[in-house]
Amino acid sequence: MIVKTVIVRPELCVGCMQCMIRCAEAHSQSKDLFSAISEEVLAKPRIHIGVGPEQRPFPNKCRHCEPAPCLEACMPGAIHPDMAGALKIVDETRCIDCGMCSMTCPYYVIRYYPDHKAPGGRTVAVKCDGCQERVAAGLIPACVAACKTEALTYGDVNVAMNQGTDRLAHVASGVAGS
Amino acid sequence: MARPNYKELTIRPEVERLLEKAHDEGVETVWDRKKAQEPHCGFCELGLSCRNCVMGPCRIDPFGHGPQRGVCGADADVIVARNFGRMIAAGAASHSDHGRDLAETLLAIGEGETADYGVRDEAKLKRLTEEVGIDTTSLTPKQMAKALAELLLDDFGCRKGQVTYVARAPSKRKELWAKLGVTPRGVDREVVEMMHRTHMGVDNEAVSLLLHAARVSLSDGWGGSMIATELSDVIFGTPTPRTSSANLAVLKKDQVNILVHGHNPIVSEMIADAVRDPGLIAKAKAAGASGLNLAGLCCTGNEILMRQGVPMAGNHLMTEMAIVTGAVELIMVDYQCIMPSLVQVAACYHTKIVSTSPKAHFAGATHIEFNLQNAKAKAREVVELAIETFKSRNPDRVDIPGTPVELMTGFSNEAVLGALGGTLAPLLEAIKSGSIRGAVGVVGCGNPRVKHDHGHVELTKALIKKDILVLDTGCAAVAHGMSGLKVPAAAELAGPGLKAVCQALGIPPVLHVGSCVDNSRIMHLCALLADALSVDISALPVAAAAMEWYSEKAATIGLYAVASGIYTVLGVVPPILGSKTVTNLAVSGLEDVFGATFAVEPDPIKAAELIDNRIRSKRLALGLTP
Amino acid sequence: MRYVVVGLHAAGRSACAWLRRLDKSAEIVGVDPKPAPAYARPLISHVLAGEIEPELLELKEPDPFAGLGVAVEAERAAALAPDRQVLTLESGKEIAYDRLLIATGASPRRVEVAGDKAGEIRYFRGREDLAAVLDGIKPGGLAVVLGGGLVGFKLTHGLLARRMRVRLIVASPRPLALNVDEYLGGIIGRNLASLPGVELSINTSVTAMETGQERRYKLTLSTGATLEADLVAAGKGVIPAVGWLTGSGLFDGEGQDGLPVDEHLKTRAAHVYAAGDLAQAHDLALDASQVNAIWPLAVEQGRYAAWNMAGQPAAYPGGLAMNSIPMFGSHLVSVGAVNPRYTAGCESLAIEPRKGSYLKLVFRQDVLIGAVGFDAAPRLGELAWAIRQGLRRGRIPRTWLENTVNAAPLADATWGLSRNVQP
Repeated sequence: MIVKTVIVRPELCVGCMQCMIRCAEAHSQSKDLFSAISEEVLAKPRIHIGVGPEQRPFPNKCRHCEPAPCLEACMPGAIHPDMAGALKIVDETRCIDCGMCSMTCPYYVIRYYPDHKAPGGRTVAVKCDGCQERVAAGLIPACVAACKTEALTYGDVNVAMNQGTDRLAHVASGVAGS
Repeated sequence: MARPNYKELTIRPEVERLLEKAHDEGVETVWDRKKAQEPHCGFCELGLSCRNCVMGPCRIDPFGHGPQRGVCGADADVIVARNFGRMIAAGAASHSDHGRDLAETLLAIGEGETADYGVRDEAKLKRLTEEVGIDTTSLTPKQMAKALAELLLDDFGCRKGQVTYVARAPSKRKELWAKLGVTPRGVDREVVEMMHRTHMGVDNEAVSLLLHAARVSLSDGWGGSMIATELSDVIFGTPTPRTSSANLAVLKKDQVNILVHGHNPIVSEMIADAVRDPGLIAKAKAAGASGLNLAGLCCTGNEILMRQGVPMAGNHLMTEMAIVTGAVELIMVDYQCIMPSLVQVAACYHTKIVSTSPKAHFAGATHIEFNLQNAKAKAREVVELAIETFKSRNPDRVDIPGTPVELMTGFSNEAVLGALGGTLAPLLEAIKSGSIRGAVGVVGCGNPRVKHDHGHVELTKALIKKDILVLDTGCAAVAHGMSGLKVPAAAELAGPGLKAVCQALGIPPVLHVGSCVDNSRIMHLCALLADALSVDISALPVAAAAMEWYSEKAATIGLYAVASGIYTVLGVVPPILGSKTVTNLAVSGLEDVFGATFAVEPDPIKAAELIDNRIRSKRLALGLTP
Repeated sequence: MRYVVVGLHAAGRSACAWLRRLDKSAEIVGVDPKPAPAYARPLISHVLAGEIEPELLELKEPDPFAGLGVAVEAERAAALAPDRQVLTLESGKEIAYDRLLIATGASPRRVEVAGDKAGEIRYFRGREDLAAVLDGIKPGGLAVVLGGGLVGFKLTHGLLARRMRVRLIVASPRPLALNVDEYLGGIIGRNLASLPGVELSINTSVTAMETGQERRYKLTLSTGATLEADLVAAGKGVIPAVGWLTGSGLFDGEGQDGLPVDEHLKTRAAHVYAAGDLAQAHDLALDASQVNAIWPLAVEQGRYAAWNMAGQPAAYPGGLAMNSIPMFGSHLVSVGAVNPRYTAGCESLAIEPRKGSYLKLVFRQDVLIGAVGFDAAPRLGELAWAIRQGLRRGRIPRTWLENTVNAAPLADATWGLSRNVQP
């Protein structure tokens, strides 16, 4: 089975933060940037451009681990798997902002913000949901759509690993790879 | 392979057909590139990115997650206002530098330093010279040209206190500008001051920046652009009503097709002369063509359409399509709105791109530089190059879709007055009686983010149906022409009042007043109407709309319209939404400042409703029927 | 194959789920006196504070066991005979097993006081305890909370939210003495002292609890003073619930230190495993065995135990103490070894990313063993990962220390260590 996922190649990231802004837009109520920035509960990005080694930008997002420590640690059962997409999804109506998930997440990709999907717009865990709404509508994840440098692509991780192996082999044998 | 749905991109079947041709021939167009850029930079769309210094670049996070201030400490309001200010400065600089070229040409004429240019409208030269207070009784046309040119060239400096044509504004408007401290002092000065203010650490208050932006824009509308319009009339003749045609089908399959693209008539007028040269026509025939065919694109096309009746091949978004017909030998360009891609598209065909201005070079194009001494000779050189190029045209790749559409053009203010019998009184009567409920300038560009020509044409159709007279310029005018709205018969599409007036005068309900610098004609006309009614411009039942604008120049036009008291609807959101202060000011706060605001409405039908409501309220305020 | 899981909370539920995943045809028996509706015990403090609706205590699926095909015996386990591989229930019913998991958790440590009302001290462990505390609430009244640990703080937080005044009585010289260092304990103590409605008594304990005059209870303190209160609640830690295993040989003494397990979470008895709040498993930070009675480790141990029980050997890498609690508008996190008792002779590195926020990393011989943060970016999981990796001080990039809000995660910044991470 081919399961598509967002594949990150940090070495191609230029730190433009387009993925962040489009991620927030995609998770807003209006899904429209111009309106999204005026919503009462502002949507938040679920991908973060972190500062990596040598001050290089590093696109950081949920890797949807399996088994997922956040899911196992979630006391109210708010984080659940989406088997088809191999995603770990936060149910905003059940999240209680206890902080347990970020305590077990090795990647610093779970943040806490008020969210319009939570009852009363209360603070909940905010993390990547693989843009499941967009994907269901036939679109690709918003961060990938925004990325101009192919630091973020959407595809089968096995294919990507093969390509990565090829690149490495080319480099190792001194052949210019594509 | 599924093709893109071209119907979503343009209202024009001809453009659809050529997009398919481009697709099949592997030619990349403006729509392809726009798609490749999507999604656009969200920070930039909101005006929240700043590259003004290298402590940054900086971005403000509109979702409140990341930084709320740039490195220097500027917040969203300051960054948005600074960016907007620079946008307005760039627009004003473009129109005004164009105007300067005409003032310098007039000076050269006056000083006898050019044999290629002269004064074609001596009466207007005399009128303009007298208007600025120079006694013309003992002056020859050359002397008048020199005196007027020198006086107007001083408008570009900083020592006059105010630009000359501010004097044309209604007194209430002038007082308001003086009170707000936005009377434009000098064209270059205001632009330079904006660049200064937007440097790090100068003007750090959004309202102050925006007021100066208004001042910059006024130095364009009542300065640089107005100078460009008036002096173009003096040098090349004031437009008078005439008929011509528009659409890509004005290209001729069996002739040498030359297109002019850009803005200034200084170069295009020379080509218009050259293609009438019997010797060159003979050369074209010798090369196997049946003749020489000149057509315009964009605003320089509007200039020679207005004055010479040279047909119009298309507007901004059609410039690449013209090449895709495979029938264009040569496109001669000067400056502004010339997509650099033309060189790449031309390289897929036999077409030559010839740049002419020392200010505007295009990598890969042929550069034949024009100046005031060599213009005629260079124009012949360009035509000869076109004839030579014709020989390498591949007839199998030629496809000129559609048929030319007739249009009427040439409605300078002088021409309008002429048609009305030398006085505004009949127009005022028509407005008072409600047969013409108001007037709207439908102006501006083409933008691949908007369905090509849809906004212009649908808005204009809706307006004339409501008995609102439309004046148009720029690419909007070309759109209307191609849609058949600029012939007297189009009066059938108008409401009963406007229809009757048009039929009585034999004019279309959509009057072509020129290129984008010629929006100054609309300013001047509004001032004359306001004076006749003893009111400010903001009291008039008028509005402006730029449904498909893309350029910095268009933003400046919009702002000088608003700063002059004219309600202005934009069909594309300007990059200001990142600041609530700036946005609120633009769409409501300015009403209390200038008596007019911007509105943003991409839907032309809703835009027509907004304008109709505005005109209704202005008419009621004047004691007229709604 | 018959698996028996005794205790159906965090560890037991996790084990059931994984056993089913690993062995589709196995017979799984769950033993718990009150298995349904399944709920998450630690959430009671959020209900007390009125932060969540009581319904949210319960899992989305009220009976997860039916879905997993787990046969549930709704009674208490009474005894275990490892030699016969038989579990006896309170009713006398015997259940034979092939593999058995002990996940009966822990119970609150009782407070020893004299007096006729000593039996009315309320504890704070499960939903029955929550009901008892809620029942004793008297808005405007005074509550006494015994114990300055995390539960004591949760009680204080919740009772304040229920509009009671709180007297926090702590036996040690400062609150959270076991959880945070002196510096942070000081900050928290000062914050607490300035909080309206809270009074803190340190180096104090309660010696007697009797009927009061004006309020329900009269307390006598170790200082000799007396105090009247409307409610008395205690959070003095937990002790492993291993009483039913007395005589099984699975533990030493009273079982206060839990059930010793090996690296496969197997107890001293063949085919018997333990997970959760009673398992004395390896602690990575301390490099010793001890009980870490926290939810995420219970779930994790349930998973490892299931793997091993199902015949898929998986060495448990060890646990870490981890805590994340709201602290009156602030947020306290800690991971690994931060208890001063364990960090003597260690080096530490404290940073103040911005005024009022605090992050301290503790190293033993250059290896990260603990961290504590106060109003710091939510990076505790990352630090836990780093401790598990045995991250050396030199591998922590300066960028990370200087920009704790935006730095890329350690898992990526320290490239060489980022592969094949087993969370």
